[in-house]
Amino acid sequence: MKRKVFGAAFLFATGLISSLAIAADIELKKGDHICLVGNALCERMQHHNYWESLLQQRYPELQLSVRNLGFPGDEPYERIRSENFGDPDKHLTHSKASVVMYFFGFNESFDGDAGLAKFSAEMKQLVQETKAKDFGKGVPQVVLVSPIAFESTEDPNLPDGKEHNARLAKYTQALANVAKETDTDFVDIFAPTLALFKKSEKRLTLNGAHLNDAGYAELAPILDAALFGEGGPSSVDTAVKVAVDDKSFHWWHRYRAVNGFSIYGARGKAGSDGTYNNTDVMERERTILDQMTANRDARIWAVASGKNIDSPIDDSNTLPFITPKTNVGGPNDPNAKRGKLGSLDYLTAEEQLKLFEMHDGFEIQLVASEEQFPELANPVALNFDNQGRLWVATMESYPHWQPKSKMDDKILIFEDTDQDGDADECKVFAGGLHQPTGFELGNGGAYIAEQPDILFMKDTDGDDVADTKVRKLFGFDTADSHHGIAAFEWGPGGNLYFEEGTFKYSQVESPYGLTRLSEAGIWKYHPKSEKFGVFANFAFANPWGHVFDRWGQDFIGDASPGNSYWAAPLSGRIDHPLKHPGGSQHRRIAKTTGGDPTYKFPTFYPKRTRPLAGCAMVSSRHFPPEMQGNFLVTNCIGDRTILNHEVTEDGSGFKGKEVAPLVSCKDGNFRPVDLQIAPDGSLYIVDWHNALIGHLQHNLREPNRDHSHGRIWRVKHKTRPLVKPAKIEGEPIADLLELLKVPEDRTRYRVKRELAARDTEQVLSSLKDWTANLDKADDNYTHHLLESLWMHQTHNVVNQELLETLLAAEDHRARAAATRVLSFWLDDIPNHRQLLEKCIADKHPRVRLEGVRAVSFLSGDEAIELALGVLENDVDDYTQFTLDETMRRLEQ
Amino acid sequence: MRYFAFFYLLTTIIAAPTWGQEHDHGAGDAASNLRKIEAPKVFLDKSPRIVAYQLKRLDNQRLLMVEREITDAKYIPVYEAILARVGMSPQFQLESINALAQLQDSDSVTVTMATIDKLDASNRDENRTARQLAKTLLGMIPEQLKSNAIVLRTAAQSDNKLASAIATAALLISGQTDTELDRLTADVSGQLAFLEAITLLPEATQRGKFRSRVVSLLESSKNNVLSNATIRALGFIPDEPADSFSRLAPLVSNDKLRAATVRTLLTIPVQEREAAASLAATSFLVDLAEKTPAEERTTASFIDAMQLADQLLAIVPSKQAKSFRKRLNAVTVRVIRIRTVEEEMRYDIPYFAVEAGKTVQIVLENQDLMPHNLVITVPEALKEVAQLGLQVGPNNGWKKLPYVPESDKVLHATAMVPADQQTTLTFTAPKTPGEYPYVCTFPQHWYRMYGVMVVVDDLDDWLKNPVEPANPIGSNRSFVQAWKVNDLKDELDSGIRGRSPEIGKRLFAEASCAGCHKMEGEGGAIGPELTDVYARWKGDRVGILREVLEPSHKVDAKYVMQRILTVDGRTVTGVLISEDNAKVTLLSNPEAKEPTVILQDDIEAMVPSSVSMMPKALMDQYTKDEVFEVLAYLESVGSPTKP
Repeated sequence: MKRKVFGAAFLFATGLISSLAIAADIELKKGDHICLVGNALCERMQHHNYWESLLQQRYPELQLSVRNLGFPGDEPYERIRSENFGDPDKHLTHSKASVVMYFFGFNESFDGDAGLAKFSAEMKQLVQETKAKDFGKGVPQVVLVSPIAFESTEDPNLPDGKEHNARLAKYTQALANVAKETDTDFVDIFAPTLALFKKSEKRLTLNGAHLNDAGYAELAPILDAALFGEGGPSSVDTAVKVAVDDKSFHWWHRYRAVNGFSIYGARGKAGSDGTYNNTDVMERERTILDQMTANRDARIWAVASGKNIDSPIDDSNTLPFITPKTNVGGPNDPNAKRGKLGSLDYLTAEEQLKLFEMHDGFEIQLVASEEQFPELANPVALNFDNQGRLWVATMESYPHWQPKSKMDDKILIFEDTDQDGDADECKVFAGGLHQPTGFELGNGGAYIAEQPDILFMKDTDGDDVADTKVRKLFGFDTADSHHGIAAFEWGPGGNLYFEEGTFKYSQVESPYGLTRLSEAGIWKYHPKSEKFGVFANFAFANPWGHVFDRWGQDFIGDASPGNSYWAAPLSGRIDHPLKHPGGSQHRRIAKTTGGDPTYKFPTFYPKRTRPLAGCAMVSSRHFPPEMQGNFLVTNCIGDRTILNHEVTEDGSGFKGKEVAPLVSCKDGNFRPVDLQIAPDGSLYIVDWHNALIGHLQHNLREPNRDHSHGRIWRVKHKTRPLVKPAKIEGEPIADLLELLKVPEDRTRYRVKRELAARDTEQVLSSLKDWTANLDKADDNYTHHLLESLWMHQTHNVVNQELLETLLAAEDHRARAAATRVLSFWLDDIPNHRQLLEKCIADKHPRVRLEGVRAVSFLSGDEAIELALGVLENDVDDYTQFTLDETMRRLEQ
Repeated sequence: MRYFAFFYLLTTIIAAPTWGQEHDHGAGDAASNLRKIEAPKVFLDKSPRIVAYQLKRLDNQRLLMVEREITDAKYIPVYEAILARVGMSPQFQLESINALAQLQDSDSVTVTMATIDKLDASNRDENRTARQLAKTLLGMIPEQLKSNAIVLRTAAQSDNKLASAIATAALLISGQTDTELDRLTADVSGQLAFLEAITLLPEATQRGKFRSRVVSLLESSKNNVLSNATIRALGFIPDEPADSFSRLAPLVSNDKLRAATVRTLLTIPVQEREAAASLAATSFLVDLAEKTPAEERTTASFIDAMQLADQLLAIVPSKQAKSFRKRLNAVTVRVIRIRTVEEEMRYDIPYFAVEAGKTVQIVLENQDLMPHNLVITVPEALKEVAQLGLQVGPNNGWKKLPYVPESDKVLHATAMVPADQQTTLTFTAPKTPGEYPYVCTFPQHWYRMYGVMVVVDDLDDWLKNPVEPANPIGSNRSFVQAWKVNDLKDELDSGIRGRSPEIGKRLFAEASCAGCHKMEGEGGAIGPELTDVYARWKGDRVGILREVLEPSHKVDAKYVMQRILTVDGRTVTGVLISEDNAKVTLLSNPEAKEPTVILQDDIEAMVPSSVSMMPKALMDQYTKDEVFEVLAYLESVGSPTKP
């Protein structure tokens, strides 16, 4: 079968693409293995299987196997991966590629004209090298696929795409030229998608750059025609797509297996039972997934050729699982000796309750347990929605879903209908998930970590069950399920922060360009502008805690070492492959990331016991005044307690001091992993409740890993009254703004989350009045102004006047917070240099430090000069670090 | 173990700190420092703290790229930074001294002395810089030093002991009356500074002038610190060796003074060692050897003591010598210590004797900045072994030893010893007497770096009546003079006139210049081509002479020797040919057929050396006329009009 196709006879408006006779000269043979390689455009096709469905419908007799090897952020020769993932050839060989389709050009295009020559040279080299190889089925056929156009969404928060499309056109042309020079097939989907976006009524992308489900449905016939000419199937056959979806699901969990570092990476050697280690056990599962994927290829061909089959797929031809022996118990169990192990004789919640020891004046009650709610298996994170209801993420399948089982980790909602603090009803907001290591609510739905993606799920009909599921952010690594995205936290200015642990090599695309991050850090994402990047590029182990204080200063808890850090010095800009030095994993990677390998960034209080699975700051009138501002830490191994620390200002930063713990429990299975102040001012704690705690210490398939227990506890003061929960959901904007005056940080947090989801114009209009009418005599006037500034930032609206007012505020905490806001607004504030100069010469060291931190987002000698100004005053260690790191960035 | 090895190497091998110097974090990874070299912008008009911070962030290469002029005081911090920086070549130190003298309305003595005083002598790198600056200071003319006597006298009182000693040395050179000397050495700290100053004086004749004062200090000393300093200073004074020997030999029995005493005694020529004192010392040392527990017999001071005992046996009457030898052999292996000489590409001893069939241990201490080994060959096989060694290269040698061929002509060989490290080689001497060469088989070194192990039937007889072996490469050249620029510069113009380039060309090859440098396209490539050297130096004959005699004075950036420390602990040195994000390509030696390629991922640190790969003293076996012949040849090729 051979066709000459003259696709894309479009004349691009700018004339950059000449009327090349772009001939896709694709000749498919029976049994071809088609591998898709490239960036997110490619990777996401396996979640929106329209094109492959058309392909299989068109050529059912050819028995084509399609394997998607895409990774967001991949470029021809830069594709960062976790340890020992394997190079591209390894995977092309594994899939015996006979046709390789390359999807490159989108990420590269951000380099503009300066990057064109490099892109062309690399693509040429890539094509030539690929054609010189044999992946098991002879010389592979190569197809170059152009990037798609950028959609003008008419959302003022997003780029309009004019500059993007001018660049993308040039990169498309470059690909066409490479194809011509190397006598390779090329298909232009840039011009047709540009036309498509113009005429489409529907929005076809998530953010201008990345197609949504409807977008992929529209792309499918375009790509089909460009590759094989007109005359393909007129529509997607749902039965075929169902079969392709099923195949893609199994392939996805094989190729993008979570826990890669414990499968093929260094920890594959761990978990040995004397015979089998993690690699043995888990590679077997990957082989089983390969076999199941192949079985599903056959099902696709059968369905596509018109056979009516509804029998389940027979997977009896797959290899058996390997079940390792347990390493728990026995006379020399090292985990028991070190006190890590709990007890395999699980106590009832009632028995466990008796084993708590409480801080003077406090009591504890059970909110929910697996006994009443079997869904509450392995709870890992909690949150409260704007109605005041408790939400919990569970990971029953932890540490890893097993093929052939139902994938069904969940997000739960607990209703306390009688308002007595314990749960009466449990609803499953979302099931069918895999390792939701963290989640956050907002914009009418839930952001849910499901590595390598962050999902956005929404209930559209009010039954508290999610109806839509969008892969909103993608390209995070899957090297380790317990280092997955966690500790979601809204910043006071509307950025969503979330954290990723070590061993991971992530590449995340956005409408503004690609961000790479290796070996841990904290990400930042603004849902309105879709701006995305790294907040703290620092070699944490697995940061599971992040909390902001009343004045927007934030603190980060690193789980495995139990270290707590003040975030400001760590959150200046530094780009991959460099990192700020001094994290617990720094020494191992310092050669690549820079800095003295022995340097340790200071914790803000001396760590006594590890780890730190979650943290919170006391801000609740239900707690006694002397505890306000205390930093609480969940310790689930060393002490099985809620550790308690006083925090005071110290120079530019803060220092903490451990005081009597809030809660401790003699039940070794008490595993507090997350905590949050509830709307009524009490404290809720998630108890993972498991005898085993380590990821590394046992085989991933250790039989004694628990998959059924989980508890939620509530800590109350015995005599102090609870706080009356604020009414937030659905309340008028003006009332919500008034709630920004309440003392509880978490209440204002939920109020801001509600306001963020409201119409920008209405919020800004009310906000203007609210701000103007604030009582200047109020002790908290400056803080109210700051809330107003943050609300502007949340809605992506710059207010220079208010910013300058706060930069000149009397309270240094307000000036520091305003400086942080300025660091996000540099592009929009023309006189930012003058403003920063003042910050850097401020009389308070924290403002100076924030100023230097902000300079890390600028560039050039002027920026260096600006940062150096901080040396006109004495500098403390935090400021020196921030200056050194800013200089390093400016010299990068 | 890896941990310690790593940090040992970091602190000892890396001369220039490659990461943050003050706070020790984040001044960039070592590799990227080398990768991107752009002229840095330093805000010299800002406050001193800012300027100091910026300058501190710059590595040597970038620091030298900072704009500087002797017309504006704002450049003072730049010159000060250069002057105090570890690993700067002397030309930039001199430039900075002169500039600071002008900018501060001062003089070079004051400037140099002030810089030395600010350096921390307890820091290895700063100590090195201070000593390098001391050489500059002490090389100034005595009148210049004398005119700054007040500055020097003040510095002699410094709490910085090294600075105090250097200032004292400068005073000694400038000329001191006895009264002034008395005043200088009025207290113990002054005396210690004076004694240390003796060791710093560049010329032996200068040191000799103070012998009587050192001797009287020795006689009057009442504390061990002072006594040891005196004994050490005597080792630097070649005058009246017999007297020194007689004074010091009895002190070997003093535990507190023995180490220094032995070291000084080893400097005294054998013929100056008085017999009775030698016998007494030998007797004591043999007893000592027997009393010393086995685990303490590997210390440096014990090895020194045994070296001395071994030498003294030549003086002791034969019968007693035989008995001592027997007793020594019963408790220790005979140790021969061989050191390499920094920057001169030679071993410190030209020959030594061993007794046929006896066990012997060689301790090779590499005090040079580049790696060396020691290979013992059968007689008359030096050149053949060296050339075979070159062929096997760094990776395929005998027992995996670099540049050591698998050949029956090789008897024993050490590993390649990195800079500042040592190795031992223990073996049984050949049964057949003869002259067995030893040689460094690192490419190109064999021309100069060799010696002879003389195997004899009766060691003590031979020691009594040693016979110098023949030169193992058949060279009939011997040491003429350690040529310095000042020895030749005044006669340069007349000396070069009327030479014939043919002779110069032959000498250029004989002195191994052509191994590394191209002339008209012929020759090695590890050093710069010299065809147009005369034009490049704009006819500056003194400058070219200095290049020949003091190769490290100024090193062309392209030919800076890079030292790479790999992740797995290897050290690779060579001249950088190219570098990209993936790999570094080095030419390790003049005869390497292929460049060495090292992946960036394998590199722990890469440090440029301030020292030239070219050995010093290349002309020391040549006469003044011959040096002029070579210079004339260099000139004749580049310039169309022959001299």
